[in-house]
Amino acid sequence: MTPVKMHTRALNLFYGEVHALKGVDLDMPEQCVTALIGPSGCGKSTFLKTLNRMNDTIASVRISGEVVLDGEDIYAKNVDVTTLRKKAGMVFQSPNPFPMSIYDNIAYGPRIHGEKKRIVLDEIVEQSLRDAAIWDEVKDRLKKPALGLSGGQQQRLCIARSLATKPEVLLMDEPTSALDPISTSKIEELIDELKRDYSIVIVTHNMQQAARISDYTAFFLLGEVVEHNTTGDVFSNPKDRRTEDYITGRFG
Amino acid sequence: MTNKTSILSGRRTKSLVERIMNIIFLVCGLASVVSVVFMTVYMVVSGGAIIAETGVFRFLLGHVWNPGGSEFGILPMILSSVLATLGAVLIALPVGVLIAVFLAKLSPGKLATAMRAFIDLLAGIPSVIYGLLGALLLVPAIFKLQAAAGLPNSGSLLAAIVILVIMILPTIISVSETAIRSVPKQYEEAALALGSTRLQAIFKVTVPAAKSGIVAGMVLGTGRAIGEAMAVMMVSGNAAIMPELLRPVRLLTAAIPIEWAYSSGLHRQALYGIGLVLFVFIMVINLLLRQVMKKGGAQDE
Amino acid sequence: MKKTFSLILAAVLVAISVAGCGTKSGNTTPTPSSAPTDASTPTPTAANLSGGVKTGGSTSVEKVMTALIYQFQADNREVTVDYEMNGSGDGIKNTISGLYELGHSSRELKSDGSEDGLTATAYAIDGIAVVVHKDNSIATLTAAQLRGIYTGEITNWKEVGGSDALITVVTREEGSGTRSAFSELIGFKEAEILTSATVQDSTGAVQTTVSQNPNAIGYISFSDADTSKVNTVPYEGVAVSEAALKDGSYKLKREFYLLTKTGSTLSPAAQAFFDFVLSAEGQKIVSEKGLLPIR
Repeated sequence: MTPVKMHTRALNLFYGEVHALKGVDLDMPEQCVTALIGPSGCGKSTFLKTLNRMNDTIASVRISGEVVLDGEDIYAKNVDVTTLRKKAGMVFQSPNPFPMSIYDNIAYGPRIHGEKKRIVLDEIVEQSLRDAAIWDEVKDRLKKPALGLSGGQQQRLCIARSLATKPEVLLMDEPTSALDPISTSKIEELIDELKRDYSIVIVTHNMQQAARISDYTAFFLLGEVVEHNTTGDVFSNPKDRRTEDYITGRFG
Repeated sequence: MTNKTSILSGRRTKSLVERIMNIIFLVCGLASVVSVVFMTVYMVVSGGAIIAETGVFRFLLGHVWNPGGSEFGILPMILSSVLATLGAVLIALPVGVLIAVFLAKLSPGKLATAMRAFIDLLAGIPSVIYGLLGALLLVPAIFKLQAAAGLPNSGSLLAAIVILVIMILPTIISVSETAIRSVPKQYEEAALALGSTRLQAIFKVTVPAAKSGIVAGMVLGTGRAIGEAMAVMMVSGNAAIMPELLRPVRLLTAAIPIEWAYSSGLHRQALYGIGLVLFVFIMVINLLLRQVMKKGGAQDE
Repeated sequence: MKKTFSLILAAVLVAISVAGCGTKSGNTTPTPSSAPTDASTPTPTAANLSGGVKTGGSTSVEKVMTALIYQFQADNREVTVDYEMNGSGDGIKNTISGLYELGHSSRELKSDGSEDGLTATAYAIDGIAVVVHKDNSIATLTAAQLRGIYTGEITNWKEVGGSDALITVVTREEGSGTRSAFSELIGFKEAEILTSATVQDSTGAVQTTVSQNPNAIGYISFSDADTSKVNTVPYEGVAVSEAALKDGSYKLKREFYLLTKTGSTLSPAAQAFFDFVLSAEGQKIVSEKGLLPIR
């Protein structure tokens, strides 16, 4: 039985009056890719954002229940959110590199966590870019603006940026939905590589993608997890009628 | 049987109106160009007379301003203007940006709205009111410092700087705030997701991203500071001597109106000359800062 | 409806501005801004005077003279009075030579014989008051002391019998008639004025500055002195007042003169102007302009 890196128990989330997440129990195993699928507005992204407490920035949000990373409840009183986010990095739907040089983008994370030595930063930058499979493309233009890269490159840059803080978990919110098919497949390859060292949770609209790259899949509907199983089982042998309807394209 | 509508325009008047409007816009645009050109030519011609008469170096670098004795050295006034503007901008820029950050990011809605209204009000107050309040409240407050330094009580460079800071803050604040608000939220989000604290995200990502807007605010502020005449005339003491923080000074802008009424001949030409110097200063500042903004913009490309 | 209203309004505004521009401008100098604040209606004159009167001289008398000329011309629409301003010296010279029928001077004629042949008739007194802060009770200042203060030789009030505090010297700007009169009367050259003295460009500004600063000293036109804001300092022991100015005991003053060539007759227009300046109406304008009438 694969050890569980993160899990939630009885997780409820309210946006003001709206009950967005209803009693979600989910295990996310270590060094595996867990895909979250479901129609628009079903709570997948909201759920993802509870895993690194990015929902804290929204004033009207109330949360109850447990979210546990490596045995520690991340919503406990003495939790340092900045350390949490160092440990659980996030990649967003639209690539959002900072308007700075490629180097400064990658070095941002380590710098704010205290790293100052040039040599160490150089090494981290190179390693992160290699791990994101983009080093060869940018090694000669590290000082050039990151916004000069193509969409697909920018997204890989963002992945490299997240890797620079040496996280243990990667949270990816529809990372390829804004990209062309070639960039998409490059990133899917990358995810396959990364799962050897990281635990990945990925929200995706694209069921084929989920089927391709994930080990486990959870189907969200209206704020609840309807079904959660190994990817193979969810796609070829769905237990719930609603899951089957979604997968076969009858709705969503 | 499909309908066939002709795409040829049957109305000539429409394009005539367009052409007339184009001409009107062109004329308006040219009018502004012509005005600036005219002003420049006029300033150069009228200000050039004194320079031809006394020579560039004696005019710009002369220490002594004594029109009665035909001495027209404006170095003390140039230095005073430079120091006053520099001092004002160096203080107002960081203070203004911090207030803008507070308004844009850190303050609760109602407080921010109230503060913004108050700041907009400040921006609209006429210079002469600032001068009055400066003369009545600020200058006497500085007397104590002057007494401690063994100097007689008077208007001072310090008073001019403080007044200028208050006058250019609203501009810097509102332009910077707009710039900061228009930075896409994704940058801050990404920064937070990487483990930044709120302040780190704001000061290491958002504010640098708003750089060109903030610089624009600084240009506007500098322009207002260097061009302010009324308020500084009322608080700076108007002594045409080399500038010191706690002694009276005469800025270029104040030098013109203060002696205008009774001036004639060479004296008046000298005042035009001061006008030309100011004109050149402002042009240079504008060009320099446009360069800085261009470079900053290119970096973001 | 709204459109016609705006058109009418625009037309009215244009008409008003055009009307405002169309005042009679006689000659080089008198400008509407120096006209008496309440422009009195023209008084009808018995004989309709006409012609031109050439005058010239002092710049210091400009304010009051242009007001007098403006009113005189309003009363006598056929007369133009020219007023050239090249200084008292020029006024004296050109009146002797006959170029000007009337000369203007803000100083007395020299008694060394070089300016003989002229009669100087005073029509206004310009008193200068030395002012200090309300809390400053200095009893008096002599010419020598004022000279010392204004040239920077004396820097502390205790040197002239006041408290121990540095003096803040306040002066008028270069070109001011009051400044040249003051320096001439006290006996120092304008160029000798302390370079670090505070400069203000009007009597009002000087007064405000002095009223704000316990250690300041300044000089202003007597008629503008507001003793609720500042104290006037007796000069050589004599306090300043209208009486003291008129009887000559207060010496910080100067008179404005109309100059005429002794023995020659003025043209009717010039004579009428001369009489006007000394008349009740003319003297009223003199006091409106902040000076003491001679009568």
